[in-house]
Amino acid sequence: MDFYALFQWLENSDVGAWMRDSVYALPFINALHVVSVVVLFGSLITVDLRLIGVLARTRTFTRVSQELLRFTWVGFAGALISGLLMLTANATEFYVNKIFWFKMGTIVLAGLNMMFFELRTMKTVSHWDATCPPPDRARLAGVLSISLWTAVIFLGRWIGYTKGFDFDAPIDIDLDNLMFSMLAAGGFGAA
Amino acid sequence: MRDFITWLSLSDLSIAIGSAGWAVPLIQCFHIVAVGALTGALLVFNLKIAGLFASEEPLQVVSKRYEGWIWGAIILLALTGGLLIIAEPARELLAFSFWAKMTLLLIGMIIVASFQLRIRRGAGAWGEGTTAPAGARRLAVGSFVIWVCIMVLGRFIAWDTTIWGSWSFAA
Repeated sequence: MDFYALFQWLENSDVGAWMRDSVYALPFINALHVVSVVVLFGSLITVDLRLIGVLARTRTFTRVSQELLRFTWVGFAGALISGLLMLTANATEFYVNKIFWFKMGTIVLAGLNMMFFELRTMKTVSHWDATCPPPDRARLAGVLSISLWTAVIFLGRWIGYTKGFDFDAPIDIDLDNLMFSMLAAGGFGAA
Repeated sequence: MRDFITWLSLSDLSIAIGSAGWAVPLIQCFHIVAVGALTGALLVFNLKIAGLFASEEPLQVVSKRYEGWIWGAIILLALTGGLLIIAEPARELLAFSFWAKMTLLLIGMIIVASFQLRIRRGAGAWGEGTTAPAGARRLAVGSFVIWVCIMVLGRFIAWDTTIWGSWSFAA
């Protein structure tokens, strides 16, 4: 599949143009992305910590996951929609951004971890639902889930700083015009 | 305020963090992961009071389970947030979003602490009971909305003048 053509199409779409031209679209969509991601992450690690066997040990795993994973999926849907919208604004720039692809790869790994857990480990859940700690295979899935999603957050934040930002370049501090130079650096601040 | 910002910008720590280009993004990463952890704990805590989570467990059990987590995350957020203010004083302290965020943060923390105290004292429907009074249920939903606004305002700091126009102190 030709991803580059797809990304070009996204960037040239009306939605992409709206994301670039609208003054308010990016801040609001970006904020929606952050809120979605932390709802996803927060509800998921609560389930994962029960799976590892360190939290809510007196409750069954299925009860905790049934009550909370719906919020994880709501967060995921919000993050996916807002993420796609942000992608359309500069899709071809994201295409050449390594960190972006690392992030996508890490999300795929987190998905594979979840699929393996749901399709294999969950088959025996009736044996360990109320047990704490659960079997090692289940606990490993919990540790991997928390680690991979933490990495996704780190990589996501890093993308904002890799679009035309050089970490090796020292930030000039103009001591005579400090306030001016800091405010003028608004482009950097908006990462 | 501007004198204070200038003084803080010239402090050794501010210059040290600022001159390492990767430091601010890295601190922000930890800040967001801590926000995620706090969101998880607050989601469960508020859902429980709203009567939408762990209906079989007493309020005291659920509240106690997430007490350390909630305040631990808030301390971590204050530390990383403090470093971000030191690193970029003008960006934070001249932002209307920042001060609106701090105001809501104060209100949000007071609501959480008052819930926790009431559940600890365990009078009436609180404590051993599994459901909170109707008024508290509504406040729990409102409380979570306040925390979402706190996060949104945190993100808005990056576009303060764009969003607030002349309300921004940087404008």
